[in-house]
Amino acid sequence: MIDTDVIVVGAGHAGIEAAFASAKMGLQTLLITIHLETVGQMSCNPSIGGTAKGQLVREIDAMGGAMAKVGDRCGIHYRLLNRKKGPAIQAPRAQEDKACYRLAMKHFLEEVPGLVLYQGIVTRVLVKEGRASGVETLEGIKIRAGAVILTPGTFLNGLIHIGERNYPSGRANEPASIELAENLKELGFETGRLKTGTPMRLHADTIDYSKFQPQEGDPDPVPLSFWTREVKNRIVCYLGYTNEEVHRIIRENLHRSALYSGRIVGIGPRYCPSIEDKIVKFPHHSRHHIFLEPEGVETKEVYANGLSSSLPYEVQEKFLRAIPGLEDAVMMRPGYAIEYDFANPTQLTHSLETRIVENLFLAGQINGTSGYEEAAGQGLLAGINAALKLKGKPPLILPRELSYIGVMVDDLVTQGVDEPYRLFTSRAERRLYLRADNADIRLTPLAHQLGLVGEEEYREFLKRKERRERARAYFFQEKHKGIPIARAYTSGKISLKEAISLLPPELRPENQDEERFLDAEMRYSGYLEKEVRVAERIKKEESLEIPQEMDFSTVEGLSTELKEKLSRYRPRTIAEARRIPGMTPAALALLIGRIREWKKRKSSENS
Amino acid sequence: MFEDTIVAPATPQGRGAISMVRLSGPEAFPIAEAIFKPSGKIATRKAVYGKFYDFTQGSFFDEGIAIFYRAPHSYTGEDMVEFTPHGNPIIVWKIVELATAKGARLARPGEFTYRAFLNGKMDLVRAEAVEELVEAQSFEGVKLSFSQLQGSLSKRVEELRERLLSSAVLLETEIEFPDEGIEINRDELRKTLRDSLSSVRDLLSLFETGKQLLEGVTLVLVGKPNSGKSSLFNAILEEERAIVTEVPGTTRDFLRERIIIDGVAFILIDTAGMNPEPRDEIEREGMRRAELLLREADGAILILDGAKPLEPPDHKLINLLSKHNKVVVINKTDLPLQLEPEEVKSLTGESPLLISAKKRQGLEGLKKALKEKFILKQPAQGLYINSRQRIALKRAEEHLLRALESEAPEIVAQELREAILSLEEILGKITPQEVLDNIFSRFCIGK
Ligand SMILES: Cc1cc2nc3c(=O)[nH]c(=O)nc-3n(C[C@H](O)[C@H](O)[C@H](O)COP(=O)(O)OP(=O)(O)OC[C@H]3O[C@@H](n4cnc5c(N)ncnc54)[C@H](O)[C@@H]3O)c2cc1C
Ligand SMILES: Nc1nc2c(ncn2[C@@H]2O[C@H](COP(=O)(O)OP(=O)(O)OP(=O)(O)O)[C@@H](O)[C@H]2O)c(=O)[nH]1
Ligand SMILES: [Mg+2]
Repeated sequence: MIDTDVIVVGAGHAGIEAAFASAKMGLQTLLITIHLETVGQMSCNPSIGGTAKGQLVREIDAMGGAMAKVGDRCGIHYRLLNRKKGPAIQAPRAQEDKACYRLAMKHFLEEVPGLVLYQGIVTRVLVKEGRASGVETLEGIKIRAGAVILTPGTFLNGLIHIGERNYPSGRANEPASIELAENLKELGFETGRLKTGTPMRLHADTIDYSKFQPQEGDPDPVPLSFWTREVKNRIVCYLGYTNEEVHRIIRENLHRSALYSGRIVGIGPRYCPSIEDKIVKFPHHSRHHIFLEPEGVETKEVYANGLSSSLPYEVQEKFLRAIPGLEDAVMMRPGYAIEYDFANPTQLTHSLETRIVENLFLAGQINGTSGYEEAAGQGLLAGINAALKLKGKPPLILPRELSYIGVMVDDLVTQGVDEPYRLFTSRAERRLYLRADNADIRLTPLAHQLGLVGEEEYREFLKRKERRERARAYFFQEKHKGIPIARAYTSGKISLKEAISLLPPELRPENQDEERFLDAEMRYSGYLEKEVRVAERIKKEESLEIPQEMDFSTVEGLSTELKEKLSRYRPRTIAEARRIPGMTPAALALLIGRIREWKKRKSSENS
Repeated sequence: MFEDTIVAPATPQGRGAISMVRLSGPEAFPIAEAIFKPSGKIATRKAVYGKFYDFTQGSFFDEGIAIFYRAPHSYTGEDMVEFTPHGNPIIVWKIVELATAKGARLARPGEFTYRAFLNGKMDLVRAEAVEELVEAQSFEGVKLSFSQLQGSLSKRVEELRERLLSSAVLLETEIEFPDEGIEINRDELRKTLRDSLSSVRDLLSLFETGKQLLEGVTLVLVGKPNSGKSSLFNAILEEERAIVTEVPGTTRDFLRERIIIDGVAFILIDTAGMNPEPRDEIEREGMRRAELLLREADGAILILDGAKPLEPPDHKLINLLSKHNKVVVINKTDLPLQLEPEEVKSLTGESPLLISAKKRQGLEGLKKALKEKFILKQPAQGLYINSRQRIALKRAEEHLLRALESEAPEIVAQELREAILSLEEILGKITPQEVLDNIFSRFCIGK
């Protein structure tokens, strides 16, 4: 078998970006996955983006990633969320034609030089002298590589639950990765159990849409990718509600749900609850939303968003009957819950390399996250860092001040996970700066340096960037009726449209994103300046490096618990130390003092 | 929990009927048992009588009381022992020495309280209150810091923080879950913000009074050489503290003494012959330092020599004090008055008090004037804030004001977050995950 530089295991959303980045950076990359038909399969809902996730997708796109580009090729329903609110919290979201997405993604990867797709099941990571050296497949083939990236998603020891029944599976009727899960434990990884679930898919022709409210896409749809010029809405979604009768049926059958009968031990995501969860936790709600989302253009399958359930098939059928418009609905696939293994991400460094096995990287659901975008963001970073590692270069660590990817990775590796982790905008300290409209300005130059963004795309980016930045400068310098345009706008004297009409033609925004950029830069100017200042101060104080050879157990005055945590997480800087759970300002001050002392002593010892 | 055990005398150096030595940490009990041989069985949190034993020489050297506290039911939250031997420094340090010989370490200043803080026995506000209680300059100050130690300020700040946190949760829910169609009631939000703002301002108003009760009012006695500053100083204190002579420039250094007027400590500073036209290096230095003192003080007592007409140095000093809070005194009124009180009033803006330091006349009037001029109205709530807390509250105030100015949820949320952080800084904690945790416990989020 072809030996290679980097092996990526699993062509889910994490694996795709990982393989793509590593190949783009010039490394021979092998992407092994169970079925080549399910490359980029969207296991659950058909949408990409949303609050925080939309910003994240933009960051992946800004770094040259695949998700947004392919997403735009197959997008069929676009909405900019929070459109009526400020630009920092507006987020693009697209519903995808799932089949199109799989095919287009596979094709996209096939065209990347240096990237090979291979269908196989990995059972073991080969380790030599503490370092990943390849993988072994179910057929017993050993493939050597310099680095391995594992992105097995929900497949790791996956166990599907429907009502009283459960069986090993990684995703509806696909095989679970049991040997790989065992192998990880043998290698010394601490793993835990999480759970998630998905609703039933319905046949479109059996739904009475007249009982639902249509939800059109935006009239002026915003693409996911900076490099896409135009996208169209091709379908309509529908909004409806559950009712007391539905709730009664579910309540009566709760004991038969996998979750409430105690058969599931894994912890599920609170923000993505099953319908039985919602009814138990919010008994005072008389109804819950149901969004009907077509899974594609050339399919009749409809995703019943809001009805995720692990109840037995007949109960799912029974409560559907009680929903106006779904009385005759035919299920093409039932809803189910799935439990799977994850490896606590505190076992990773900020480059997503494991602390246990060198040159082994983990990304996606295996790190305890949930969501396509979260997986893709980590995959991209893992791919980049595997490539950098093999090139003998220092790792790329994205600071949380600069990107949502940075926020997510930092949260994961310093805090660990005890329930599925999903990104929220409120997790970011600098929400007004980490926006969808400026993700390219924040990250594309870096991606270009790494070789992830090609010359042509980069030139296009530079043009966009310059236009936006010059327009911004114009707004702050030029005056309208005696006051700077920016101030005239923020004080409500002129509208954004009027402000834009004051720009010289060559500086006028060419799309909504560029408009939003200008809007944000004016609206938040006070904060953005302050954030820059604050960030600088923090950087100075927090970038104080903690010597890796420092022995925390000898730091007098720290609690044993903190000493132990410090030794476990080995923060590189005060900034990281601050994020360790239970860290107090007083303990931090103490730590800073001890580090300074330690450094002084070292430097005097050396001189 | 800490791994090492610390030891230190808990009472000041010197001789007295009894002293106290404290031990805290995992080894506190075994170390204590090596030094202290109880007459009966040791019960925790009960005074036990016994003898202090020097294991290096195999002999007893004192008797006294010890109290054993089992973690977490102690001041520091660790195992703790308090010894109360007789109050001789030799005994005290012998006990400390024996404890260190058994592996204890001499505690750093404030370390017992610091441990209490890190072990979660008290928040930052309370830890600070301990220090303030010990340092308070008047009984009113003692009562105040005791109330602080009981958590009165912490409670207020905590309540405020929770109120803001629940608004933040609502706002974040609206931002994060647009599909759910949750809209937070803006009028209620604004009301919460306004109420919080006025609570913050209430707390801020406690600063000056609190500072006064704890630290007292510092006043500098200012007057040309020989005007009778030292005499007045002694007269107010009712003791011959400063040296008084006819020679101008008698006082060469500063004397600092405390009197209590109406529960508030006044710290009076008698200065070196304040000569605005210094005749030598010493006087020049004295003048410089007096000016420095004035800058830090809460005010001054200006003393004019009533037996002489106003002279150029008087004018210079009047000028120097033009911006200070002050009480003006014409001294030596037992002698024929050589200056015009009306003129003094028009020059200083204050009605001068006629006094004779030598004959102790007019002193009650002076005390009354000091009280009226300098004692602030006392806070009824038994609360105060120190300057660290004030800085953080000021910041919270600023953020709340800006939150009130904006309609945009992301900006209001940003300001709220900063305001909450400022309050958390007061309590000494940070809690990022909390907003999210709250969202989920209160709302049903679908999708
Ligand atoms: C039933 C269900 C419901 C979900 N519900 C939601 C939801 O509501 N919201 C949400 O945000 N997310 C949900 N998710 C999660 C979402 O699908 C994942 O977060 C995301 O797909 C993770 O991406 P990934 O790349 O880590 O893994 P996946 O997308 O799961 O991809 C894993 C890939 O690895 C391959 N693989 C696995 N093991 C091996 C092996 N040993 N050898 C070779 N290849 C292997 C698989 O074939 C697959 O291609 C759900 C997932 C499932 C299954
Ligand atoms: N008759 C009379 N003499 C006073 C009175 N107060 C002070 N004196 C005299 O004035 C002289 C100076 O008094 P001090 O109190 O030393 O004056 P001072 O301002 O401290 O002087 P320096 O320290 O030298 O600046 C002494 O001889 C005092 O006895 C007073 O009320 N009446
Ligand atoms: Mg004197």
